[in-house]
Amino acid sequence: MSDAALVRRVLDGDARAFTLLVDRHLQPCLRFATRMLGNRHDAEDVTQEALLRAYRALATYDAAGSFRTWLFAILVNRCRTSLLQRSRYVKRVVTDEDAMRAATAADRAASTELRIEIERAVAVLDPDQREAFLLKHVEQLGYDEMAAVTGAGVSALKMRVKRACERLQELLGEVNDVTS
Amino acid sequence: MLRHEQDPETAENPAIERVIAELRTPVPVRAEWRAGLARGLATLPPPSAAGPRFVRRWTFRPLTAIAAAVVCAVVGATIATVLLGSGRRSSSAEVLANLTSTMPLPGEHGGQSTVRFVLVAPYASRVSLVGDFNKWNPSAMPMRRSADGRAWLLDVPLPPGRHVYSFVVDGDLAPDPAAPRAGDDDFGVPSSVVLVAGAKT
Amino acid sequence: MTRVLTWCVIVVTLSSVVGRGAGAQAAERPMTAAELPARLAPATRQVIVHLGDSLRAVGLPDAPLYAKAAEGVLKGAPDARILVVLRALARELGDARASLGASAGEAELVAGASALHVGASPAMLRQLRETHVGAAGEATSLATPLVALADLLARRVPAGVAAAAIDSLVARGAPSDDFAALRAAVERDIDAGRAPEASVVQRTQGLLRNIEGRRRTP
Repeated sequence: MSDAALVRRVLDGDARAFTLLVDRHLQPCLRFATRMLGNRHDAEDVTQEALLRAYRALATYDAAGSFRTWLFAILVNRCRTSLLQRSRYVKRVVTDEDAMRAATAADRAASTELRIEIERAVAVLDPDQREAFLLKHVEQLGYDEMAAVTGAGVSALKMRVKRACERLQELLGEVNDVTS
Repeated sequence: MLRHEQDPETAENPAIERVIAELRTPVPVRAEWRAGLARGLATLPPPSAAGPRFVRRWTFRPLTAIAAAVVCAVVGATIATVLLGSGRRSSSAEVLANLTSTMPLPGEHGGQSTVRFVLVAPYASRVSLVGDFNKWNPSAMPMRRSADGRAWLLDVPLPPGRHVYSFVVDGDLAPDPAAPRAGDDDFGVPSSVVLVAGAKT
Repeated sequence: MTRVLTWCVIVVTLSSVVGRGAGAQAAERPMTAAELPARLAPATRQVIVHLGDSLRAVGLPDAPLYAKAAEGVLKGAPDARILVVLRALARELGDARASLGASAGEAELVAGASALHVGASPAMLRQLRETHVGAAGEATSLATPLVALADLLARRVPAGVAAAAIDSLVARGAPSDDFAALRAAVERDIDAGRAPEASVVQRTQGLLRNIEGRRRTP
């Protein structure tokens, strides 16, 4: 059954049909939010908020367009808001005692370094570029869909993706000691 | 520049391919979170075709939002600071929500630049300063409460250059509300920056 | 996790409240490898010490590296992330010196590395140095303009605009106060809803006019 048909069923009173829609789109939404915000906790908050908003606003979804595009527009908006608020977060200090308790073997450092380096590089990208790059290459949206999701023009989006690729290449250059 | 525009999909590059492959890795969905989402949905009234149309557009104006947030914060903090008594015990959230500060002010004292750090945190019971100048040690530089009990103060002589710092308020890290943020919050927690001008070192 | 919104408020002045003698405290000497926090795993510590030795061997400062590690520990970062951040910092210190020249002081290198970290290019740093040497000579520090550049970039001012603004002030021999004033004014403008680019351009023009005015009426 298509997304549009499921939406129709929800609007006709079958609330459980929304669970099927959630199952279809939850993973990409959570992945996008996690990559966009750089941490799991915020990503879960934002994804939940986006899905609840989508549910409440389901009547505004126009079946002529893609449900994924509509849902991602809401999600992208929530991610932008979260990024704005995040600079005002505070965090509990980790004392040496806490840290020793939580510390695990450092040997696994090497295996996770590449992933962390990629995360760092993505986090350093300008948020507009990161958003465009993730939508294009990770969530594999077409440029027209991206334009509908972000409100930006196709040319601007292509430029953002291009710049993101260039910047990532720069950032992921040699990770060697400066002396080597 | 636009004439060089191309779909980067075609501009294959092993490093970017590796990034994309890594980023496409599915993010595990935690069962408790999924259950919380289901509970959240269950509390909402069922949407209907005749429901309110409140999601009309998804374009976003970040600067307007920042301006609105700052205005609300200024009004809110002023009211909170004026109305609440200083002898009251407060939760950590209240303490942190009532922080204000002056931008650190470097001044020349005996050939050294002394920076005065000031944080208005009337309900805090302990405040210290951490930064690259004290090895980020929360017990190295406790701040002193002002005579009226509202502000926390410390003068620190610092060498010329860029110094990254934060406050520790009752065990919580809090960046300086009045100073520029360090752009390099590599560890996911923002810090602040003070600039001490001076001769070449 | 405790996460609370911190309100961003600038109090105009507290000088009347402050008074003198606000617990003046000596800044500590630069951090050494021996002072790395205890919770770092031995293997991690070994890598950091090696990285510090490598920096010292080529005449680069190692204290910023240890301070960064301590920051990561206090903020609860895992060892793997701390190492990634330190490697990047070491690389950026090296890149900063390559751009700013062998005579660059520690404060300039740290400031240059921070600018590179938030999006400045080595070419921007080279350009700033050339302009600075032409306008003020080698003896004065470029640290203040570099910090201002890093702060503008951190507030999402486009890199080309930020670099051009700082360069124009350096070329006119602007005093340190002007750079501090620029970044503070731009910060206020952005918080008030202005576009970063427009704010930088307008504030820089204002500062340049002031410099000209001061020159005409000494």
